Amino acid sequence: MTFRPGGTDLTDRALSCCGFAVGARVLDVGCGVGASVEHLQSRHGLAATGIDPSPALIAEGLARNPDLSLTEGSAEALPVADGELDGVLCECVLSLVDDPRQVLQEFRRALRPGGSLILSDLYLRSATGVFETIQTADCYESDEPAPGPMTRGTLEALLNACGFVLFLWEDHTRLLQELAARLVLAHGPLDGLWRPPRDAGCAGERPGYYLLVARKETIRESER
Amino acid sequence: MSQSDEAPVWSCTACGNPLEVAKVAFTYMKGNFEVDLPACSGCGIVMISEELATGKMADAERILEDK
Repeated sequence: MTFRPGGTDLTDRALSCCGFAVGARVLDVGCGVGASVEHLQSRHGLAATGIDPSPALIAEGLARNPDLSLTEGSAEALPVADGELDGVLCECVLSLVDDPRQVLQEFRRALRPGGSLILSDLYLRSATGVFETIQTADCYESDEPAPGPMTRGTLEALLNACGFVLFLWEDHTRLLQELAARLVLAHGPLDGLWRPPRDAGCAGERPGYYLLVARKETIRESER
Repeated sequence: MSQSDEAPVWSCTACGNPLEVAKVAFTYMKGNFEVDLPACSGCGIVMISEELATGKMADAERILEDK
């Protein structure tokens, strides 16, 4: 069972843009019980593996399907050699890590040149519904993005700084809203979850949900 | 709908059958949802309490309408 906006439909949407060959090496970072890993293997024929910091989730996933390649690990230190991966899948994780820059740099290290990074996660939309493309100067003016959901502008700038070229960006906030509505109907209010806690100084930004695909730059300026 | 004085069991005024909790599917703003609600075991009419209408359903509506 997947419990995220869009489920495997969004994963499939991203994969349709990546052009992975059968047998391509794709790592699901924050794989939980391995539902996406299983999906990547069975539906797309990929050599998919997964890591998650939770030994309990890894154990649950392996109990469910012992053939899955799931190991304990963190996004900050992927258990792969430089350039070993064709793709990295990271769903609903980047907004939870302490240092998103470090994690994106680690993804870059693990990917081969031209490899694909698939991200889907929460982000901050502006209160007007116009999606931010430039970081609001007086909001999160900082050299380092804070943990938690970012604006689109912050995320794009961070991806670029970490050596990625954005290939696809799609807003899927509607899927997030429908999931949130289902949770409310089943369990009650989402106080403190639906509105990001740090919106007080930033004109009421609202939670949104994105899907993106980025490619690792083949050669960085600094490496030429 | 009417409620017995002796026991908190709802019955349907129209057909007299007791209400039983059932999965009720509804569509709102192109989204499909399922909620457990008391429904008449005879005619299927659904009871939505004021608490539900002004609580969870209002919260869900606000989220879907992006308010």
